[in-house]
Amino acid sequence: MPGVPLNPGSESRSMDQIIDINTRFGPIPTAPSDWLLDDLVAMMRAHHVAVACTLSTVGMLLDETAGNAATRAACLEDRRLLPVATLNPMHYFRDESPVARLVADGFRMVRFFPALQGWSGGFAPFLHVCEEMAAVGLPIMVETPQPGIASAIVRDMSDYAAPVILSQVRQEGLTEAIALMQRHEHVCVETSDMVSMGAIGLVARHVGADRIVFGSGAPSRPVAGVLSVLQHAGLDAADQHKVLAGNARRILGL
Amino acid sequence: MRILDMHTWLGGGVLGSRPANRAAVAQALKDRRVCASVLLAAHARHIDPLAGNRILRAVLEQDSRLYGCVITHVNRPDASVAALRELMGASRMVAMAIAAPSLEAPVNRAVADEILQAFRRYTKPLYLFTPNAACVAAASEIARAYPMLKVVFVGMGGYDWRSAVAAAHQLTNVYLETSGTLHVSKLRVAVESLGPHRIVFGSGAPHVDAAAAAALVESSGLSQDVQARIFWDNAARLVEVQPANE
Repeated sequence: MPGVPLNPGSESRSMDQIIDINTRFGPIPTAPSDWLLDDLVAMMRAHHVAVACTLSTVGMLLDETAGNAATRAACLEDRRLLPVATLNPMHYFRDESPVARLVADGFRMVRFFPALQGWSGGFAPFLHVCEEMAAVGLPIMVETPQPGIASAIVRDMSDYAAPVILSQVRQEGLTEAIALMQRHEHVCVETSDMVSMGAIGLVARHVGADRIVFGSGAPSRPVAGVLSVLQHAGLDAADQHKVLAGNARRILGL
Repeated sequence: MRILDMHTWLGGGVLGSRPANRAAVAQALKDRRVCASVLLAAHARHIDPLAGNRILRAVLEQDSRLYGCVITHVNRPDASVAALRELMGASRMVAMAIAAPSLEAPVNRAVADEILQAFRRYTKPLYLFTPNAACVAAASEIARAYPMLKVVFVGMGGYDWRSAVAAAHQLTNVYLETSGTLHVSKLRVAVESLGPHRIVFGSGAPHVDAAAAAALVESSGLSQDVQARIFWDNAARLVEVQPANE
């Protein structure tokens, strides 16, 4: 199948346009090894990923202010990295208006980690965050590792004007993700956990390739993993290019 | 590079494209350039050890690239031993797996002992599912108690793959099968600890596409020679599979 670069050095130049919407870097003692920024950049180079949306693990695990600062600093150092912020509703008191500052600082998206941080859809502080987010219209991405999380989050964001990207969608969560996408035009999925046989093709058949965004989970996971799965997804070249870059470009306003 | 996938399921996927028959499995192997595969029957894992393994045997008879792993179940020792006696002697049945009551639960050695005693005479590898550290610990106890058996840690400990590597370092009859988490550094760490001889490729398809699992090996930074050992040589020696005719 043309267009999908699997092996470093074998890619066509046209693949320099890949946009990876799901990468992270930084210390993560719960994982077998830390996620190094240098490794991420090397993987991007090896697979001709032109742009990676990334954020520091510090914001996800402990302190979003420090984490967002680390993300911004890393992205200022390397313009191929697009800064993604995170907010933890557990720390949100409505008196600091962090969202406007994130926009001013150049963040292109905001990620949420409800299962990791111990909150869920319907959580009142998250509703306050949603209200503030609605004013700026940044895309958001939410980790949904277990069935039910996505439904609850999308219920809170059913009127949100910008895209809501479901992340960590595993095979057990595919029916939920597809059902949500069928009901809500602004809901999309990213691919980093869609590595089951036929998963990407299934989503494309039900809601179209326009709603699938390439994410790898690098540097903890190989970029080649999802690229290989995409090769076997049964998409034509035009749809592959949408998944690899076009959809992300539209969502991120690049 | 020649690939032998030591861990592919017949049925059991939740998606529409689940390979539940020989033709679908064969097509999936062909598309991903997998030369041979060891199949496990989801029906045997989740429903009935005897009937499920019989279904598997019927599938194996239709395709020379397919080999089988008889699945037994700690809660069904009688049916499990019957399945062993009926099926394990077949040359295409190259291994036996013991399943616990749930996917994440360890196999308790004492509970599994009746099945293990019945199995030991076949001198074929034993598969134990190790999706987490608790399962690795229980599987290690079995490997220690049966040093004459070659024990394959299927899933390599999942996110706790360092525990599987540590166990394999201590127990020379343990082999690590590469499915589980797609963590980019686990194979390099495993090879540094064990050498390249006791690591075998497995995908867990259809739950994880074999293409993604293969990409993990190819992205590991290991030499072509080591990759060839993981993809084919080690497993072919372990289960005595001959090079496939494609």
